[in-house]
Amino acid sequence: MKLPYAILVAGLIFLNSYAHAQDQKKLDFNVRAGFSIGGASPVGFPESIRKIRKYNPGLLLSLEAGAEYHFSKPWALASAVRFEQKGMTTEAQVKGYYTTFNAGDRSGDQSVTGYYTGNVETTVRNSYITVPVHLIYNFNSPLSVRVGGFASWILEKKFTGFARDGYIRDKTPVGEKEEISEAAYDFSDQIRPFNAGIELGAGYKIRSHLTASVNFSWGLTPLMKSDFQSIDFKMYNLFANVGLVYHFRR
Amino acid sequence: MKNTIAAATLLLIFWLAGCIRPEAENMEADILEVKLPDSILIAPPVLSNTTVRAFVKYEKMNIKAFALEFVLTPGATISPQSGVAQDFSSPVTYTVRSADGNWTKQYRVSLLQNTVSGTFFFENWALTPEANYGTPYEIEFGEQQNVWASGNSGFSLVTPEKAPEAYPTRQFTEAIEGKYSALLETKSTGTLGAMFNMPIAAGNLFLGSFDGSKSFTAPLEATVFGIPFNKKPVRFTGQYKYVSGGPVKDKNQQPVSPERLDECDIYAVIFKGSAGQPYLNGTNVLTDPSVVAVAQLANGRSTAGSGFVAFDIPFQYRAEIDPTDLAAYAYKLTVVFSSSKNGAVFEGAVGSKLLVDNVKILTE
Repeated sequence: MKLPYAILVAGLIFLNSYAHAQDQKKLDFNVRAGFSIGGASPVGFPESIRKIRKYNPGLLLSLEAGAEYHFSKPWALASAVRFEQKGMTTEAQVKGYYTTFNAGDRSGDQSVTGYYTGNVETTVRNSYITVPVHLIYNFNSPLSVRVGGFASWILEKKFTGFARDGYIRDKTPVGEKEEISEAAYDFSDQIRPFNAGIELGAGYKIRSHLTASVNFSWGLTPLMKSDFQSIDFKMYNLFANVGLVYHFRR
Repeated sequence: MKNTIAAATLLLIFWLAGCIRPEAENMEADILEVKLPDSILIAPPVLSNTTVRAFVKYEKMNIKAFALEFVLTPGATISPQSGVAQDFSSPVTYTVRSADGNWTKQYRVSLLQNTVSGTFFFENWALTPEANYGTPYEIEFGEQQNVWASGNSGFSLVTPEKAPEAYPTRQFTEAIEGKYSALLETKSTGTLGAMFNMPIAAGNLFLGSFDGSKSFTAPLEATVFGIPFNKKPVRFTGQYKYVSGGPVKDKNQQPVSPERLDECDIYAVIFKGSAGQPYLNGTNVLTDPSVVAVAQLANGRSTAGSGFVAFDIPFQYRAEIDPTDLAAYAYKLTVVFSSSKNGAVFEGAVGSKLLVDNVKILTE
């Protein structure tokens, strides 16, 4: 986890110093602020999810400081250090959804595991320090597009929820049936500390120093740890971010 | 512009996440209902996750070839088939297979002719298929009658216990009659139990059935009291030994004020079941207008000495018994033991222990 981070930071520093050494005019420093919408979602909904009853993205902010190196027109390489929040609250109607309700002490032994049918409310709220690396193509117009990857390290994590108005079958779909009016669960400790994936984006220059931008990020590493069994499908961070970039030089 | 981009991106996310997929075939394999004509029924059938039990009038049917009909989880199948005659002179094992074909569950279906004699020694205990806890049963006319029930199945959901000795209600080797007695102990249910505001599980044992599905949502309704009885009870006798676990704590695990020591509860109730209310439960077993007579231990404090103490309690009648209705099994009997008097509302003291044996309902 530490190694890619070090490589990226080293790369960023190298990029900056190299750029400085070569041609200062080719380097563009910027800050960007934005907000995200999206979710931690299975890629391809499992059959157990029957209906999304509620979806609330919440207010998810991102702030970053970055640099673009215009190495060969129309191409540029960009990197940044970004603080970002990723999360959502959803309420889904599920049928035969394999899960565990625990007592929040996370010891793992005080839990009911089985197949749940009913409503599940999930709140995910994570904060990351992210380092993206993008290759940018500037069109002969205000438009630019970018593609690249990101590596994220978690700062704060939360994955909690409630099961409401349903029942769980103990261990198997034919196990003892237990009605649930409301039961809480907390899988926060099962979130991976590291997340990486790809990003696609576009920018539209509105003024000389100001660009409107949109970024789509797709986590390729699952949200939860590999030994996490309490939900039987993998979830990935899928987020869109809309923001404004301020360029210090151009 | 920004909004359009955001909307387009959101669409992309939903495209990636995918749409709601077609519903999978059902994985459950339950008997939801059994169809029995009223003319042969003594008491409505009682269903658990793996058993069906009904009291019927053998003289009004051919027990050796009776076609029972089932209502199953949609799409599930049953073997032997619903509506095909079977010999119910002993319990019949049915296998239900889920609609998706991947899950099966066996049910033991008993059509019982008569009810208990009224003498209980707690000698015979049946373990669950996973062998994690036991429940006593009676043998009448050579047939196993699962008339006793406890809250052990609720306890099994909140604790990972695997051994029968770890459960609140269990077999014990100190006995007055035969080899065994019933031991009821108030247990802590750990953090998960506390989360559901059920920090303790009192050991309980009663004539009736336990509706496990209600144990989290409506625990007082999970204890379903009563089995058909066709004799007029006069006295309720037996032997017991009680060691109080100390001061009572409430369901929030706080000591009750004023402080009082935990007590056991022992009672027998006869009531008249009706079509609308065939059984009583923890909310009304002592108070419902259908209650005809009650015999309850007056003092549930720790017993003196180290041995068993006898109890002999007369039934206090609140209404007359109708002999015709009695003969037609309109009345039902329950006997209830609990190691914490207010255990049903999760008040008690962990460690309270009640031993019972040689219990009798003496009739006219």
